[in-house]
Amino acid sequence: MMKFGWMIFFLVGSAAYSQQSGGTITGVITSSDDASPLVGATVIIQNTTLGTSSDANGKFVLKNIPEGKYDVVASMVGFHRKVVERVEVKSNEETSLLIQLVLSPIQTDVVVVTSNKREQILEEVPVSMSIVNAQLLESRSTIAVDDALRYVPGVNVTQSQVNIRGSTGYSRGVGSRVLLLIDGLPLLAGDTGEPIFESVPVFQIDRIEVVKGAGSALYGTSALGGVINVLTKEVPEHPETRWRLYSKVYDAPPYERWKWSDKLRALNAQYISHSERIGDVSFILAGSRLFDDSYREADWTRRYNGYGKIKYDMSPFLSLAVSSNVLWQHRGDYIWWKDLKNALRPADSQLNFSVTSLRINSSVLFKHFVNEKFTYEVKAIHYHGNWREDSLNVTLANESTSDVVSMEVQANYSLDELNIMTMGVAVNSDNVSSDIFGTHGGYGGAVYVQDELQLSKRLMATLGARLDYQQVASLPSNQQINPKLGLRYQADDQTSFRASVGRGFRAPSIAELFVSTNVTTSTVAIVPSPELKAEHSWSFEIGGTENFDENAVWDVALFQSDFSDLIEAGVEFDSTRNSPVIRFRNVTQARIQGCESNIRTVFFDQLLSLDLNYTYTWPYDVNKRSVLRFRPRHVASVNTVVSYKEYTFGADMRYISRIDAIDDDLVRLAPIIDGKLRVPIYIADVRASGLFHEFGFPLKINLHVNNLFRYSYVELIGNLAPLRSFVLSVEGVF
Amino acid sequence: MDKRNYLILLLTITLLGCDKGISPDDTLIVKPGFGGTITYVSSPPPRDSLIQLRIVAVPYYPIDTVVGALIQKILLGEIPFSDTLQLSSIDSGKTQRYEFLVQPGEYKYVAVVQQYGVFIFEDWRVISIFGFSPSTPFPRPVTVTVDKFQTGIDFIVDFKNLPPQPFKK
Repeated sequence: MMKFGWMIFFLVGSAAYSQQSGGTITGVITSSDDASPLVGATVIIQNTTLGTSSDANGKFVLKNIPEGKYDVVASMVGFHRKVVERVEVKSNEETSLLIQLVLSPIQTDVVVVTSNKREQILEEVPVSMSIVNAQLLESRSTIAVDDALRYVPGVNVTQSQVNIRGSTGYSRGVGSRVLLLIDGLPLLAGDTGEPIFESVPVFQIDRIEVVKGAGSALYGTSALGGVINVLTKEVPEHPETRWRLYSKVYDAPPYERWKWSDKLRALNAQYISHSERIGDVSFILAGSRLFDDSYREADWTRRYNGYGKIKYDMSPFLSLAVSSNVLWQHRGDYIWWKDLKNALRPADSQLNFSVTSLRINSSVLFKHFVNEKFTYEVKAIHYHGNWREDSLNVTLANESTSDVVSMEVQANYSLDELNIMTMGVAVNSDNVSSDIFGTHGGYGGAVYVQDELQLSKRLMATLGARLDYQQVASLPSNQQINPKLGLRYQADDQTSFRASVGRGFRAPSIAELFVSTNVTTSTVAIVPSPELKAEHSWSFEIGGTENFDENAVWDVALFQSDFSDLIEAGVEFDSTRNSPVIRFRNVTQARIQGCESNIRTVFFDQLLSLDLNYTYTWPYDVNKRSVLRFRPRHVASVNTVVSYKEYTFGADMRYISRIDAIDDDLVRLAPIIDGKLRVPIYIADVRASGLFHEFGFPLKINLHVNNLFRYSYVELIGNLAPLRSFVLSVEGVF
Repeated sequence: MDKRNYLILLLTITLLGCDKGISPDDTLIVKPGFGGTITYVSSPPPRDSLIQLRIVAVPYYPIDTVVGALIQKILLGEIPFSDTLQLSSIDSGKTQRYEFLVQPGEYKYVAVVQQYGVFIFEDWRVISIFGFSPSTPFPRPVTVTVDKFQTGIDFIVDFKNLPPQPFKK
């Protein structure tokens, strides 16, 4: 990591840079509806690091801008984005702007960065994408990233494992066919290869972008089914202290038979963050604490989280940001229930187990806007993970430490307005020292290039490929070439079509390759599988978007993914041990076909908004001629919000069809009593929130009732999902 | 969507939510599988060559399969194998009912099998194949869906006239 740090500073030092005493852009942002000033609108100068937000009077100031002509972009949730082109700035002079934003009941011109590794409007992207913005996270008082993804079309969450369009299923935390990124950098555990969502500072999220379909042509391994990119907040211009008090009370179980505790079960969490800018340096410091009693026995959690980010704007065109997140967590090791009659108690063998983990991710991002045409960035992340399983009764040797370092240099070059190149070089290393995975190391490198071509006024094509090289321990090396092609056709102002094809891959994790244990959840040993190959996929998609005036948008997509060499844990007979063993194998050839529909509408002059999402997937195991495990065929949700002045009322409803197939081997061998039991899922959550100004600062109070109808269901074998709970969340900003 | 449709949609989802899902005494959930009758049309073999009878559901045609390999897959849970059938109900002219819970999927070869010797990896024979008869000498596949227990998967067992054996020695 130190080496990468020096490299960054070398680049900073060598970058052509001279401090200039430039001009100033000032302005006011108002609503075109009633000319009222807009508070908190974002203003950025394109191709620079300069940006700010409007104050309580809608005013903004941007200083020290070198002479020249710039495009100024203003945006705000609920309004169309506006670009003021070629604003002239002169030294020691002030340029004033009056920017009126037009109301957009359903915002479609959102800026995204994940699809093509550069900022662009969502409407220009040739693949299916969904955005979870900060407003949505706040309105649901989100305290877990995986919970925030439950309402994203095409995404299904099994326990904490995220599944995009049927790609992942559930593998009990080993390997992921969805790549988790934080600010564009990979965040998968070095040993198990799984996303640890607790490692994401949830109170600092600006938005989450979800790209559906194979993304390995830009992102490499694990982006087999899609990419989830968590983007953290930028530091605002003015000092800001935000805090949130969150309290959840679990309702009593719906059946007396399930009652196991007389105490009130609750989850309490506190979050605080302070951000400030001092000259060219800005920073965020944040901390949180979460204590969860849980609704289940031996499922408690104690979690502390610290986050810091510091950004140095060396010039309007150069910035360096360093951030770090530290997570410490101690939790009960609840794996599955005792039986259906004791659905909230763990199996007796799990009662006295706990897991302690420490995870630290630190990243560096250096960004340089060389000129209007050329931008490059250097970024690196170090992800340290350590977890240890403990027991009150027996001495366990079950600890694992991993360190992953990823570094990338990426450049974007506009040959002209019709031709944009994105290219980069990435390297990574992974070291694991573990009682059950052994001591192993690996490294890899990749180069990628992509060209976005405006073929005609209406047709845009994206063509790219990435070459990956991976070496794990002394195993044979692994090379991959993953191409992609995307097309976007804008039929008219209201209708667009898209089509894409891409190849994805996932290299097996160190856990899958080397896990070796005789002490498992059953009497069956797990044995190493060093012969495992990488998984592959080809994803195809066609889709279209139709804007119906300003009041409705319908997006629909048909997709197909063909997976080969999927890795699955299976039971086989080991003749040397003369007993069955569990081993990871490349066994499955799968085809997943489906369709996705998302309708967003507003009614009654924006008083009521309604989202209707439906995803159908047919996940078929070509080898076994059966349905793939842990994939629902139908997922539907209805999200409705009523907004009146500063008050909001919302209801979210979800339907997930009964899972066709589960891991019968696990149920049989563990054994998990009543483990095969599962039902369709119907969940309704309701919420109300109000923004109050009577206390001298904005205070937001949220009330939620989750699982309103006390519906009892399992997402995962032998795991009863959360029962009804009541949430009070209070948030303030100074 | 007009107001009426919107209200109907909300009402439908609300009513669906009134289902309480899993309960501690859950017995009403449909378990996928199939069942039917087994009719015996000839006298059974001597008891010492009748260790056990079971039903096997194989996702493929087990032609020229070594019986030991098939049994190993059965023991590892890769091929579903029913509980032991009641041996007291196999006299000529008798019919017994059975139920067999299996994972959803297509089973190309569903058969009643007999263990006739003490060697569990070797001493097996097929005594009836679903869909097989002199006029239609092909196994008939059984497709099991997630939400249905399929009935009518009936067998006729004639110990004196066994169907073709798929196993090779």
